[in-house]
Amino acid sequence: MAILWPGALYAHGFGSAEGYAQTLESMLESVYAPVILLLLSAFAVMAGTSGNQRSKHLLIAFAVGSLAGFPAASTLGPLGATACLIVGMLCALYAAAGLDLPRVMHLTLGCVAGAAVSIHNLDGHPLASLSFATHMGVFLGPMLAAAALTGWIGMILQAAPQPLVRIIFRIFASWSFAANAIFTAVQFKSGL
Amino acid sequence: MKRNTAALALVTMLATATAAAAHTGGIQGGFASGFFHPVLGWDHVAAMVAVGIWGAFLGRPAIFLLPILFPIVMAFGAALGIAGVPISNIETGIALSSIVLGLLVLFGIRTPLWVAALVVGIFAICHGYAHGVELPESLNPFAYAIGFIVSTGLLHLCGIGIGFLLGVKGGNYIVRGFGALIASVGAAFLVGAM
Repeated sequence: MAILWPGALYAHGFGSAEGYAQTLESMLESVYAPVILLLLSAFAVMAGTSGNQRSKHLLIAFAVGSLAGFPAASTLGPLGATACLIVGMLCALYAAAGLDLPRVMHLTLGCVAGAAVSIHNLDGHPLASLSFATHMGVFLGPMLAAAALTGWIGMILQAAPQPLVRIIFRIFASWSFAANAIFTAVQFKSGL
Repeated sequence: MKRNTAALALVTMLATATAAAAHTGGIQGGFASGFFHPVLGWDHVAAMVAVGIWGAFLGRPAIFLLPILFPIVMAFGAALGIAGVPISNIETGIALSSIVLGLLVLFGIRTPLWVAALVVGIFAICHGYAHGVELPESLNPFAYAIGFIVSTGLLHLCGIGIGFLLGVKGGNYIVRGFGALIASVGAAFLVGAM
């Protein structure tokens, strides 16, 4: 439902709110962008199914990437959606295949995921053009969503360690891959 | 009890499906039309359910690998369709998918995993391509795509549910009967009878 809910006009508006409300509003940017939701869900499955220690490292990498994406947003802004979809595809494929990637690649993927989300969220806004409160929201929104989803999946796997539960998440990841891939094709078809 | 419910649900779906709704164009976009596109077409329903049943027949790891593999390869086929890459006789491929998978179930043929993956992968491209070509870009392609991905996955799960009948007395005949039915549906599509 969250994916069906978003409205294109609302997203990336960074509207009239001030102060704390500004932070909240920009946090919600993540909830209103379908491609970010797709990426976050794929990332969360990847992180949540990769074990406690790895998931923590992945979340830290995601946070670092998110911050790194802020200065890059003004130049890479138009590519944000496509970047989210491609990174989402990689995360989903990794989770669906149940591969054990080398740690460096794992963390790089987490970092790039965070950067892609920030770039898409800021939608080309230069670093200085938005308030600190807005940046806080842009950082915290996806971060909290990713952490919550990852923790939730990790908790489910701890509570029900049967292989079937892990398989269900892998099947979900394959659906997520398909959605990301099809959206990417649509993006390319419509000229990015 | 749960197995019976799954079987009943599938029979209901098969009984209420109509051929006219799939691959006829004019799709209104959105999740609902994406979701119902595979469900309301016998050709898709038969093949998707067959993938699940055959996976159950093959046992682990095919029972979960095939439903994981199918959407991934289907997305590739959909991307080809969206990009407008010309592939001829796609409807024939879809009909053949029901025939081949139905026969594999009917005769209980067990192949190596890579062969199963190859067979299912080839047919996934056909089904994905058909969805991709009909993706209504001007309306809500995102919701539409999610709809057909979810319904495709759920149809696989229905097939796996039917496959669980293999564990009950006489279930083998019922499952093979489903294989015969699926192959017949495919054959009917192939000769244009439906």
